[in-house]
Amino acid sequence: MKNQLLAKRYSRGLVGALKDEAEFRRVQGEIESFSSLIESREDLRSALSNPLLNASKRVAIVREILSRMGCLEKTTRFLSLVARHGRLEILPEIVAGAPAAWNEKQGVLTFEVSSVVPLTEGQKNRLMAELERLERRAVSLAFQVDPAIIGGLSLRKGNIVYDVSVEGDLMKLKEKIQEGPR
Amino acid sequence: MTMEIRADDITRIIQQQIEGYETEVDIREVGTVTSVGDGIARLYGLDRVMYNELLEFPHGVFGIALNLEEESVGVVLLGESFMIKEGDLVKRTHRIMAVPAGPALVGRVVNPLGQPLDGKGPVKAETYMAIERLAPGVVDRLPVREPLQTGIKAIDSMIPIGRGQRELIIGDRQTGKTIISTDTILNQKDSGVICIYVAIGQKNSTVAQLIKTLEDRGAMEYSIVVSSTASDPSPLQYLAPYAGCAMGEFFRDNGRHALVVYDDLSKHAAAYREISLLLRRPPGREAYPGDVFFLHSRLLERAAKLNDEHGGGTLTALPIIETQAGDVSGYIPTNVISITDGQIYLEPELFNVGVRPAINVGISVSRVGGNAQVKAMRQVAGKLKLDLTQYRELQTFAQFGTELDKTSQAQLDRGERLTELLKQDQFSPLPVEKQVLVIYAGNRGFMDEFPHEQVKAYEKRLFEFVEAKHPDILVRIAEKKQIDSSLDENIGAALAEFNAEFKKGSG
Repeated sequence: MKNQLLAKRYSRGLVGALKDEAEFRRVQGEIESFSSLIESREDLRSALSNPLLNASKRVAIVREILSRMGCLEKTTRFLSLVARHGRLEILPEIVAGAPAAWNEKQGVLTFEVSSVVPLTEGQKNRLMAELERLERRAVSLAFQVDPAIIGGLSLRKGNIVYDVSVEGDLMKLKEKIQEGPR
Repeated sequence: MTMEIRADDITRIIQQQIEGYETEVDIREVGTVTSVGDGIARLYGLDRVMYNELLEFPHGVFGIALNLEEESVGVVLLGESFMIKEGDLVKRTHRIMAVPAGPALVGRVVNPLGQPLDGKGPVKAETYMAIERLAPGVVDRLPVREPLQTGIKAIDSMIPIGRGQRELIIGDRQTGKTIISTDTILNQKDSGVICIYVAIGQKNSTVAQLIKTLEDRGAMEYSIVVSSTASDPSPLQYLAPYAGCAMGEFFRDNGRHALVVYDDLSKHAAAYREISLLLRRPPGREAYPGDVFFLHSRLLERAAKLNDEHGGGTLTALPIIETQAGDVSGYIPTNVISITDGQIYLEPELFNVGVRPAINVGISVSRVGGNAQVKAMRQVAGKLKLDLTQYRELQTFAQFGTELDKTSQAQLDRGERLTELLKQDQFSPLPVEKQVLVIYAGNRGFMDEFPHEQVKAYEKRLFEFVEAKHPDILVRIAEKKQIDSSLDENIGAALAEFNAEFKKGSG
């Protein structure tokens, strides 16, 4: 969880340096492929996480690989920075957090939508249109399935939860019963 | 006989209720737990949370937001933390920590959250009081003017406590600090003062013993016990004095009188140190955080005598501090001494030679209580403190076996009897008129003709004698609260009469 905080800072820093959607997609793609390369290669992973290897060596390895992959200069500089700080192990979280950070930069609100069953395309579009109307700005939705809410929907925008789930209703009912008659 | 309700009816009622139940969007602010341990949780999110706000964790655990940082919130948990895990959602409650207050609490034993511990059912309090409140300002206060009778001769005569005062009881372990506070509580019977005893970090057995004492002597009828024992998590120990104070403030603000005993504030400071260090606040002297002075000053400032526009209620505070080997120059003792309006200093040496209560008269003071003292008491005990201090000085000389002149010898004899006179058993508070009478006898030399071993018997027989033959004297002292010349004569005559009788009886 601590890592998420850290990763968020790196993601924000990364998108802050990018100009447009195309550049973001390209850089994001390159970082993703580098991340999956580390995932897939045991030797590379152990070499990069070896504490005996000093930072400049680590950066050199990363630069070498990236130059062979033919990456953009910005990607190389970002990943060298991450490598120099010894934060390559949180790269997957950085990659995962980047789209949300990009949306935030573009002024698009991200909602996390939890439902019991996956929503149909029609439902998704209706929800999106309604939220865009209410917020008066572009929104992006991240969907997840959570059987624990029993029914209904739960929308989370940053620190604020809009709860219309059966679980929330039951909790309210419980509080009412505990309070007793007033 | 109860009316039978058919099953269909019940179904119908439930159905109606469910149909009438509207689903509305529940909007709440949440944060996520990033780490938890040692009763402390760190949260991410909740960027609009208030300082000291109550937060709701899963499984019905609550916490208080104490550290508001740029990216995280430090929370102390008020319950078991083993069920809380990383990633749990935490809800804001928009409520500042509050405890139930009012007459419904009187006679109850509660924890610092106001939940009952005595198995006498739920506390049916109508009002809630925020536990952290600002102390009354300068304009709202009056100087202390009514006496708070402790029923202890040594205190009421030389270190008088007024209602609204803060008098520190300080001493090593096992010197009778708690006894003084319980005797004071016992003496508040029929005085209309509500007593709140706050136990902080004490043994469960000690607290149980104390509650039993209060119950057996009928003192629970006007008392509240707020208990946070050594096994409670430190956040509860930290909250206990503020909770007790808030309960007392209810009575103060409603024009009544209350007394709070904080037993003891050294453990409170230790509990706060624990929380602060776990929250990673920078440690200062003796590893206490920088605001440990404010911790106690804001608590004790809430003891006050309000002016008549605010009902004239009072809240008296008796904080207790335990010293290590008589060291009053420690960090916490000096802090609390400087905040309070005087201190009662108890010494193990005195305790061990049988002077109980073991009050060191020389360095015990009451800075404001003198104005509140009953006039009759001031008349008879005015010189008492000075006499005793001089006696202590002379005593050290006399130990060398030097020849003493007549006046010094007389002073020694008088001092011996006065010391004997001020000894008092546990659980035997004396009403003020009896105190005045016996101190009158001691100070005016009526006891000088009897050996000091007989002082105790003298006192006991004197009360019996006066109650039987001159009950009007006690009534007049109690009613007039001062000794005029005619009363002075009457008391003198009665004492001379008693002396003759006592000589016969003992001789």
